[in-house]
Amino acid sequence: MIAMLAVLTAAVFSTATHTDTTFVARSGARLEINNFGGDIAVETWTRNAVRVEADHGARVGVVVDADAGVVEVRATTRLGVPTTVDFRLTVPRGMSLKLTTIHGDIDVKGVEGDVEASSVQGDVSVGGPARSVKAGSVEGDASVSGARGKVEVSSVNADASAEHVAGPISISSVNGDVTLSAVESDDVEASTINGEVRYEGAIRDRGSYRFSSHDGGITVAIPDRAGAAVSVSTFSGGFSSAFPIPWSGARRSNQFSFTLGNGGARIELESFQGEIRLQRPGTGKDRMKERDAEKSKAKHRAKTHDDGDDESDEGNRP
Amino acid sequence: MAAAVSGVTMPSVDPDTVPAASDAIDVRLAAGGDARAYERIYRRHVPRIHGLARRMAGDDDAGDLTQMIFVRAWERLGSFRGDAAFGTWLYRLAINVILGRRAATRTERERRDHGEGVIEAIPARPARSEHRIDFDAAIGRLPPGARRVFVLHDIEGYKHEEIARMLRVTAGTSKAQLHRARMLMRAHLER
Amino acid sequence: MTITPAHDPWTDRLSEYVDGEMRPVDREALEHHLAGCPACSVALAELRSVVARAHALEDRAPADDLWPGIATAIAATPRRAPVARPPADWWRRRLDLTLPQLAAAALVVAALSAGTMWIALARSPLRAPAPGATAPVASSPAAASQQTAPAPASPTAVTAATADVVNPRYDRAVAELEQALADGRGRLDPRTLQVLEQNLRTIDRAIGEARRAVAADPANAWLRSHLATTMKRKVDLLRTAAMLTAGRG
Repeated sequence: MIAMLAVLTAAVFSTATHTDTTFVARSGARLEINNFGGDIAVETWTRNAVRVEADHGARVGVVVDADAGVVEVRATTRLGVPTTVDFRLTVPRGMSLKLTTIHGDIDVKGVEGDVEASSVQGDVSVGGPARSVKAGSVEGDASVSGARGKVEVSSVNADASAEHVAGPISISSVNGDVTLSAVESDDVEASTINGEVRYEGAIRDRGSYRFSSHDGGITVAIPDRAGAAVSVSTFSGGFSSAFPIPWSGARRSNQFSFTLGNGGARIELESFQGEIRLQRPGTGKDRMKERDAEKSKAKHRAKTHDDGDDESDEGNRP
Repeated sequence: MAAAVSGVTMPSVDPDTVPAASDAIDVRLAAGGDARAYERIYRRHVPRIHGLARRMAGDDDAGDLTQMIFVRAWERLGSFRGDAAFGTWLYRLAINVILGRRAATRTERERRDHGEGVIEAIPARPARSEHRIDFDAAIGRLPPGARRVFVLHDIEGYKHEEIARMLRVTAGTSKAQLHRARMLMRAHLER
Repeated sequence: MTITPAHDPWTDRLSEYVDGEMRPVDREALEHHLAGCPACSVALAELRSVVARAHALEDRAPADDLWPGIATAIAATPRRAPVARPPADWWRRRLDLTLPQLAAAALVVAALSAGTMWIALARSPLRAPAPGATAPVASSPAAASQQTAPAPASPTAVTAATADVVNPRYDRAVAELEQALADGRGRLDPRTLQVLEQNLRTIDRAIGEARRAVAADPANAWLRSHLATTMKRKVDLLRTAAMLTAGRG
């Protein structure tokens, strides 16, 4: 069933288990989905319309509600019992999104607007040239790729990652790793408690780069000609560098600073009891990549739909 | 609607299908927030509750209603005082939920207005046909008033006086509805 | 052919007869009628079959498993308090007030935010380290080139940092949030609750380790800042948990 709706208020109750409806979106409208359970996948097209496909139980209604620039899509049963619905949406590129689900994954691809996506139990992934991204999960991974503007990524119990991003980045986990790669930002804040922090990307003049972990290591790839004032702080961890450090003056064994090049950027490296490592770009990434690939494989296995293309983006570095 | 059922003696729960001892433990655990204990309670009671919902409200709404009933029961576990069998308490709550639901009544009325799914039109015992539905399914398609009385009286064993209180009708109406239901149900006796 | 003689007034009383609810005088009259009315006799037999069939109906579990929907719903459903607890009333009222505030605050600060403000505050002592400490960070390239020299002592900064770490407001906030989480446990999916508690334990362990380190080296500005940051993480996570129990996940 494909319906063109000019007026954006419609409840499509269906005894079928599949809903497919397309409606015209007002320019600049923001799309919101507050899903109780179930996945949300969003892609884009060139049409100025929103297509909603949903798989759900029988007697579930998909409601589209438009009000003051916000298009709300939600699932409901006649009696208002929360229900599990998997949504697939195709939206205009420029649309902004606010998506939440309790247990389900969120996957957004190609959206150019502002994207907010959060799940409690599932993975959240936002890829494409979004103007800004907030991506978060409690139990699942959160990852962002390709965003143009401000990026906030967080997980509590799993990994948080961002790649090919250029705006200010704030990324954190508690019991997971935090991984940044191919970053072109001048404002980066990455932290975790019980996990590794890895960074590979630009170190910009006057930029600010702050990395911290309590238990895990900090691995930062610093380009050859980067200029930065670097501070290293640890309680019982260690420090190593793949290149010579230009020491000058007194230093404590666990808290010290040094200056690279013109000292233009500020880099803070802090781990309470983990190893702090400096590398050159490329040297550590293979290991990093391998680890990620292994993790990703393990994850795919766990999800039992291994499609075998884990390494397809190998060598995808700038 | 909650008051409608108060003061009514509930039929006891079949001890074969509901081990009361397991209930007692699981209810206490669930009242403390243990969802797994509550799932065990759900598994033990869902056939009966779903059957009640299906027959009272029809197939379409039975799943939703069953979920509502178990969600409502979870919310109110704290008010279960243990002086009756848990199954009896749950059952009373289920009937309250089913009778109290407005939305479902509305859809029911809509369906009746469209003349769909109602077997009232069948005058007597029709000839065997491909479209005949089985006895149990046919209950869900009785006119709502007759259906409720039939389920509560002939399946669940309530007396007309009790049903009258629950449904806020007279005992005479309850009797008349029961007879009407039985007459209609004759068409669905398997032979 | 229609078997039901709709006009026959006796037919309407057959159910009463089946249920044994007739007065004896009526029962006798009906039995007399039945003897001469095959239609009513057939109807009676059928009604008896209907009743027997209804008694024999069996219950079976629904075709679709309804539990996942219920599990999801109860994870987000507040359980009604069985009885009011008057002695704890003042505390309860305060909590009722704070919970929506917490939820609101959580939505603003959000789990997604790294809480830059707090970190900026907590880190300020780094810019003016205690005696003997090396300034690890320079705020400008010029300062960076000189920063290996010990910075002048700054007792104010040390006091401020200590205040950050030992803060009654913080303790109260944590206590309230922990209470909110304890109160809302039943509203969370058990798995999510387990994950949150495990992560809170992770942070508590980290806080404990950082506290011991600060106790051993109280002048260490970075350790104090690390402790403050870790404590902030606990508040953030508790806020997330409070937000989830408030059904704002």
